[in-house]
Amino acid sequence: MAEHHGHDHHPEPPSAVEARARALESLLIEKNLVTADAIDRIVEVYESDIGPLNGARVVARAWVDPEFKRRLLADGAAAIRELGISGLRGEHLVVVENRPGVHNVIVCTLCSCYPWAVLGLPPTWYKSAAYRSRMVINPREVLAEFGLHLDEDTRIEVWDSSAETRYMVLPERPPGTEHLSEEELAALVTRDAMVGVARVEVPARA
Amino acid sequence: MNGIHDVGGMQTFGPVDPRDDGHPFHAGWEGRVFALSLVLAERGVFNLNEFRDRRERIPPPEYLRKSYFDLWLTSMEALVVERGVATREELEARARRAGEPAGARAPGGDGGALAERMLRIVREGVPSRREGPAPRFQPGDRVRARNLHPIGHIRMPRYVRGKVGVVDRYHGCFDLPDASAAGRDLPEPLYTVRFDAVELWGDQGRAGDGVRVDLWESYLEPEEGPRG
Repeated sequence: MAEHHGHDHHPEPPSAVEARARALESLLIEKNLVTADAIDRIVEVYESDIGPLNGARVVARAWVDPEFKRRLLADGAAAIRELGISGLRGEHLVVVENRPGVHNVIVCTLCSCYPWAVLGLPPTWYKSAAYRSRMVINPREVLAEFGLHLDEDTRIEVWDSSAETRYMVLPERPPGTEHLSEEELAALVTRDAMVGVARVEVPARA
Repeated sequence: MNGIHDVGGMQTFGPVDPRDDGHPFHAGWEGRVFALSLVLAERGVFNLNEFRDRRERIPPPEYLRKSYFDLWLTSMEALVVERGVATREELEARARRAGEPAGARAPGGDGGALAERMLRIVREGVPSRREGPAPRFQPGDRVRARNLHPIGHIRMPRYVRGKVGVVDRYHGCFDLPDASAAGRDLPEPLYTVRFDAVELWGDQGRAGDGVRVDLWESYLEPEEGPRG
């Protein structure tokens, strides 16, 4: 298992940062603090398993089940467990609801806090200084950079994740989706909508 | 510490590039560095706040030059050296040999026990709510964020310091990050506080917009005036 690494058969010499990363890992393995196997498995689970499909299931359930939605908004972490969803950086999940006239959006100005258990690891833009710095002072402009143009009279509530609580947006259910099943609804829900930088859109012929 | 990590309210970083390929890592080493940080935290080499604190003490020119996961790597290198797990010389000597075949790696040898433990943590989480003192504030109370500038870790963004907000919700007690980064457990009530955009940003803020920030009780003082 120690042989299985994405970089071990690299034809070129490693970059400086890659060499440092390998050095740290191999020293920690020798010192019995880490196993290559543990590293492999963690990488694999975040690459292929824990991602925004979890959050999309939560949103779709909240759209079709008002009682679940009530529980979700009251205690996000407990409600997602009903769907078998839990995990690191989801232990103290708070779900905030978009509604006509109020738009919520999530940021972490101090680092990159993000609700891993429901959305997976954050995209590069979420971790960028441009997003982190400007979302709190100029949210309309930043949302427009994502192509989201809000009405003038919509209030924006920005949630700056500064503690071990983690936030996720419950987007508005788009009109014209009354005939869709819970599974079909989940397929419409994007990661960006659950961060609050997009709306959930209905494909032209849904 | 007032470091370069605390960027909320800066206006000079340019537009956001919203493109994304959906992959959490963009090089093999990035994922391994990420995973190493989880294992070292579980192993007690450092806690989350010590890890953040170390990152925040990277000087601004270096912080801005390095990529996201390079900052994680840089912080972990510093912490393993500071904690006596490895020496700087060991790390550097090993990095110089990193292009050589990986035959010298020691096998895992624990029958997968650590991997199993880590997967359980990843999938189930580790709650961090604690028993602690009763809350001093209630939702609706007006509070002022104290004007604190400690020589150490703090999880109160600079842009709220000195500003008045309204307690939005109470979350229970959580370890104060300032103490946690110094190796002490000090559970304290944690609140979400809502600040009006105009209070924070003057005429750059829009009336009715708000920013909510999670703040520990010792970051706050009562503010006289009508309840929100």
